[in-house]
Amino acid sequence: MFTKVLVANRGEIAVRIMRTLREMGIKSVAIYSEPDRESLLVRYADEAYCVGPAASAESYLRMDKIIAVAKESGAQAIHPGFGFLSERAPFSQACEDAGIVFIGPKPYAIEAMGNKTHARDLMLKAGVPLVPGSKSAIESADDALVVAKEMRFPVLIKAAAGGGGKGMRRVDRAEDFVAAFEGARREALSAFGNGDVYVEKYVLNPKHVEFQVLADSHGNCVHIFERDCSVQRRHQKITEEAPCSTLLPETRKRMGDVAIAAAQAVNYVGAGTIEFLLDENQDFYFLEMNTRLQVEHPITEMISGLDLVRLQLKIADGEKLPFTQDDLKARGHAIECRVYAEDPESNFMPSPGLLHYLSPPGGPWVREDTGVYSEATVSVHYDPMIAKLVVWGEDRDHAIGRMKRALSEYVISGIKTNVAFHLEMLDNEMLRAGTYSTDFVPALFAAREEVQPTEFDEIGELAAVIARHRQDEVVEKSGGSSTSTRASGPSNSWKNYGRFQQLRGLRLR
Amino acid sequence: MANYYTPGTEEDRQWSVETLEDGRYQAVGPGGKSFIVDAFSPVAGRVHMLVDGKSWDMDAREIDGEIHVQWRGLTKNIKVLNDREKRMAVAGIGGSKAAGPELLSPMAGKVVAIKAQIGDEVKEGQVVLIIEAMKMENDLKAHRAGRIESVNVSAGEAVEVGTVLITIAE
Repeated sequence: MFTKVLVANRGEIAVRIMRTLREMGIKSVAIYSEPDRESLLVRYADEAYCVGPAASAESYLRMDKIIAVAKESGAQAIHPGFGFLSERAPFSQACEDAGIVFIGPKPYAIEAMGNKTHARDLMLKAGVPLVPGSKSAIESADDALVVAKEMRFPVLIKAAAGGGGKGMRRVDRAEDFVAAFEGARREALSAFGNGDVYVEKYVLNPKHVEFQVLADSHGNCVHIFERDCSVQRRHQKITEEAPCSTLLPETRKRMGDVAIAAAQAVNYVGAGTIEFLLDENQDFYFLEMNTRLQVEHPITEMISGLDLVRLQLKIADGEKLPFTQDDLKARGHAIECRVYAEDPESNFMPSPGLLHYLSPPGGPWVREDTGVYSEATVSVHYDPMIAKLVVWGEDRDHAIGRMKRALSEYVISGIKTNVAFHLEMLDNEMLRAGTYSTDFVPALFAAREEVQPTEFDEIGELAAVIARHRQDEVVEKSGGSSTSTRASGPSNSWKNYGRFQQLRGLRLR
Repeated sequence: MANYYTPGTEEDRQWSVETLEDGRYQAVGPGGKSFIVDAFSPVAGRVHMLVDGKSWDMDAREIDGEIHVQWRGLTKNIKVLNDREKRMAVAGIGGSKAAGPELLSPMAGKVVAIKAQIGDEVKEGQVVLIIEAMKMENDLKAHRAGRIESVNVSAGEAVEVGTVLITIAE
């Protein structure tokens, strides 16, 4: 096994990977950009090296610098996490050329699955069902509009090199198409350096169901069940659960077989995810394969009892999978809530800034993966995800109740977050019934009723008044005159300290 | 005995608080409702209150002139003035600004497109700018109807929170 591994990522996933490394007795090497100097991943790592300024293209995407750090620090392998370099075939190739193990698939598999139009062709050959759509990238908005009209609205415009909802637009009307097409191209170009987009039919009321696959370099491939990732906003997942509550056992069997076939079609090695749309008739269509670890992998870990990062490392080290498909059993139900620095009440506008205080939940079967801490800054330069909150329960209702309890314990102050929105979603009837589709979030907003007053309305105001009164008392006691500026939390002690120093100075003289 | 004022729908809501002993307070709210509060702060910025036997473990910290109160995932941001600040507010010192012609950036990011030109008549809510932050494009809408008086940024420019993007004359 490796003795030292470089983690080419940031945020919570870098910390999560390093935790497994430490458990396995492997030293971790972090790379970081200048503004991430004070981030948790740098604090957690055994070694850490700065690779450039804030812009990802000059730091987290600098293959040459990252490989140089790996060589100089003596790391034998690089774990790319997700995003950044995780799905870039040239990076996998560059690692191989430098004699460093890339913890992920071989370059050809990334390339084959990374270009969505190419992936569609491959999957068609492997007998995997597909959503109707344009076969290749379309450059002109007018040509694309013709295609869109043929397959009838609504349609989805997607970046060929995309992921994470970037460069993706749903269009319902022909008159909105050209503007959306141009916006998607621009977003794709800025996010992936590749402005190619294609158009596909938008399947109505679908669920987004994905299968986790794991393949070793000896030809063995298993799936570790599915995840339902239908709760999305702006085409990005915010809540995931496993298993999918509406998936019939026979459909699960068929989808699992198709997922393995899809992975084997590209001789896949490592952990990967096959994403499908599942419609109301239990028909499913291949969406794409993510050739990396997923954000939501912890819910699979919860129901399977496996550590996917540990297995990735073993596979990368040439070991055989220690189990067969029949050995794998799913147990109970897991839910993940992604906690974002954003304002759900203003169209999920990002809300980066200083995190004044962070107190994570605890207790039975609660897992919090984060990359920040009290008085850390949620940077404007990167994704607004603060943490992933994951719970396990004996069944779905148990897991929902536990997640609500965990969310209620979370304290994140200073920036806007979606914690209250998560609580609202978990109380929603559609979600509780499990029958929601990928249109869930807009449907929830549309069906919102007037908020009923709660006891907290009164007590919260009382708390603000009492807190203010206590602050004013401290200022009075410490000799602050009524004309002094307002005392406030942490800075108050500094003011007192300053006054104390002044007094001391006077006495000494 | 000290008075405090929180924003109400028309007039400020008045509270009065008396310290009975260290950590025990009697508070009287706007409707004359009286509370006996037993409070302590386990760590700076947190407050725990016992009110009539009920336990309230909350976060209450001052951020940018407001007290942010958080309890079980719910948050309220409340501006609390004391007597002196209330007098100053009445005198017009530090009073609230009327919505001016300036559209300010609500986020730090990069301008990717400008959808309006000087002289354009815009409706309230019309998209006038697109700003990219955290790799997502965000539509910024006109905060009021009027004529575009000036465009203070250009495509590709980095902006901070509060940067004046566009001014709209009524």
